[in-house]
Amino acid sequence: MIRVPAVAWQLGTLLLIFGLAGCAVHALATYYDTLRDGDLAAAEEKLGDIPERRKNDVLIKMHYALLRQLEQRYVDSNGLLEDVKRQSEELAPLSLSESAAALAINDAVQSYSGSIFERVMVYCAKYMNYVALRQFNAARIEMRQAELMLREWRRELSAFPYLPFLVALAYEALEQEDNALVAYRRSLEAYGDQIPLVVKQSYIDLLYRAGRRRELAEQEERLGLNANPEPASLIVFGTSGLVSRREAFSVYHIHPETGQSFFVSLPTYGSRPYQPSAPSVQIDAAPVDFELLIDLEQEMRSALAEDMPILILRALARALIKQQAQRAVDQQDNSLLSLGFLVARVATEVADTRSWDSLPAALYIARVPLAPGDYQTRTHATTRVYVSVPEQLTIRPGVNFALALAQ
Amino acid sequence: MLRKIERIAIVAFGLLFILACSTQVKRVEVDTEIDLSGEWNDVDSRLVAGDITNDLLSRPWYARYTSDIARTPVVIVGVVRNDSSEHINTATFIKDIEAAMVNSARLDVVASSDQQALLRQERENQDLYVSEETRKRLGNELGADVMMLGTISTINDVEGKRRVRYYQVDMELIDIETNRKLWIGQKKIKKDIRKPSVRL
Repeated sequence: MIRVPAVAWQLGTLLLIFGLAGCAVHALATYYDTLRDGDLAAAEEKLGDIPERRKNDVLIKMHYALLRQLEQRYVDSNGLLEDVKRQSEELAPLSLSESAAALAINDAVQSYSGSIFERVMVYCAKYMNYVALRQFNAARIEMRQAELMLREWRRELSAFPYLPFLVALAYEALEQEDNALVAYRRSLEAYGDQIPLVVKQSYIDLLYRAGRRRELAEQEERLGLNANPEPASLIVFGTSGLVSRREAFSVYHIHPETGQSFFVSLPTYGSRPYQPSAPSVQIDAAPVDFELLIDLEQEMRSALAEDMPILILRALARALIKQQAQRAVDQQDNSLLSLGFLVARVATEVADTRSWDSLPAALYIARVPLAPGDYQTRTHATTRVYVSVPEQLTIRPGVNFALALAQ
Repeated sequence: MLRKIERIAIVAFGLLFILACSTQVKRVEVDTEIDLSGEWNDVDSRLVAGDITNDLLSRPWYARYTSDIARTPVVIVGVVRNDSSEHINTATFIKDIEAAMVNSARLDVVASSDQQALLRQERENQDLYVSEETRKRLGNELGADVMMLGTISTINDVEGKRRVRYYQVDMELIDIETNRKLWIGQKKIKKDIRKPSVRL
C-alpha cells in the first residue's frame, strides 16, 4: 500500500476546501455579471450553480431576495429577507471560534452577517416590497425596526436620515397625519443642514393638507418652499445600476536573503464607476424629476472604510502568527513540509471580498403632485427596466406609490 | 502517525459536529412558554386575550347592558390595529379573543365583516341551487349590539444589547347604535431582553 505523507493530506484537504469555496465564488462572480447585463433568467441560473450547502448563507439569501424583488415576487423576497434579518442577528455577536479562525486562516472563514449599512438595506428592501404590496403598516414597521437595530448598535440616526422619512411616507399612506408629521420632523432633524428637496416638500405639503396654518407659514419661510395645493401626489422610488464588487488587494513578500515571508490580502474597491442615472419616467409625456435618496455605492465604500482599521490589524496579526508558525515548521528540516506550509499560507491568505453586491448603486425618489385621475406613463432605462410604473396609472386622492426598478 | 488519543478526539469531534448539524424536532404542549427572540408570540397573544376577556366579563357594564336589552349581548370583533414596531398577526389575537368570549357563553359573537361577505355569498348561492328544505333564509342574520376595537402599541427602550420592550393592548367595546363606549380594557406586558455580545 502506498503511504501518503501527512503533508499531502493537509494540502489535499486545503485544496478541497478552497476548491469548493472557489465554485461558490465563481458562481457569484458570474451571477453579478449576468445581473449587471440585466439578464434575470441567467442570473437565476448562476445562483442555482451555488452548492446547496451554501444556499442557507446570509449573503446568498440576500442575492436571492433582490432577485425575487426584481421578478416582482415581493412576498417571496420578504420571506428571504426576514430569514436574513434573523440570521444576521444571530451571527452579529462576536464569535470566539470564528475570530480565532480568522486570525489563523483568513477573514472569509467568519460567518457573513453584513455591515450595519447592509443590514439597514435589508429593512429598506422589505419596505419597498411592502410598498409594492400596498401593505404600508408593515412597511412602517420595517423602518421602525431598522431604527431600533441602529440604537442597539449605538449608531446615530443622522447617518441614516432617510429612515424616519420613509416612516413618514408610510404614515401618510395610512392617513395618520399626526404620526407622519412627527416622523418628518425627526427626519429633518436627522438630515441637519442637507435636507433633500423631496423631504422638505413632503413636510410642507402635509402641513398644508393637515391645516396647520401657523406651522406651515413658519416652515415655508424656514425651508424656502411653498406648499403644493394638489390633493394627490405620486411617490416614485427608482433604482439603477449595481454597487461595485469588492476586490482583493494583496501583498506577497518573500525576503530574498533571509527567506522570511509576509502575506497580506485585504478587500478594497476600485475607482468609483460613473454614477448611474435614475430611470426615466414620464407621466402624460412630462418627465419625472428624481432626487438621489441613498447613494448605496458610496455607503458601501464608507462601510468598508469604517471596517478597514480592524481588518488591517487582524491581517497584520495573522501575517505575524503565520510567519512564526512557518519558522517553527522550517526548523524541522523537512523541506516538503516547509514548502507545503508556505503554499498553504499563500492559498489561505485571501481577502474577504464578500458584500451584498446585488444592491442597486442608487435609490432615487420623486414626489409628483397630481390631480386625481388617470394618467399614461412610460418607464425607460439604459440597460433594462425590471419594474415599471404602470402604463395606465390611476391616481387617487392622497399619497400614491409606484416603483421603477431598473438597471 | 496519529496517536490513539488523537484519533479518539477526532472521531468524538466528528460525532459532535454531525449531531450539532442535524435538525431535532420535539413536540411540546401548546401552552409551554418558549421565548426565542423576545418578540410578541403565541404566549403573549393568549395571555392578553384571556386577561382582556376576563376583565370584559367581570366589569359592571355587562350586568347593566344585559339587563337593558334583556338578552345576551351580541359582539362583533372589528379591527385590532397594530401600531407596534413588530409584525404582529392580529388575526390570531382576534381569534383568541373570540374563542374566549364564545367559550364563556356570556356573549354571542357574530362573524367578522370578511366572514360575513363569504356567508352572504353562500346564502345567495343556496337561494339559487339548494333544495327548499335545506336552503338557509336571507335576512335572518343576528345583528351585533356592540363592536370591539383595539390597538397594540409598543414602547422600546434600547441601550446596547439590552432592550426593554413594553406592549400595551387597548381594547374598547362600543355600542353600535349609540357610539357609547361601554368598556375599555388594557393589558400591559413588559419584557427585558438581553442579547449576547459574544458567541462561541
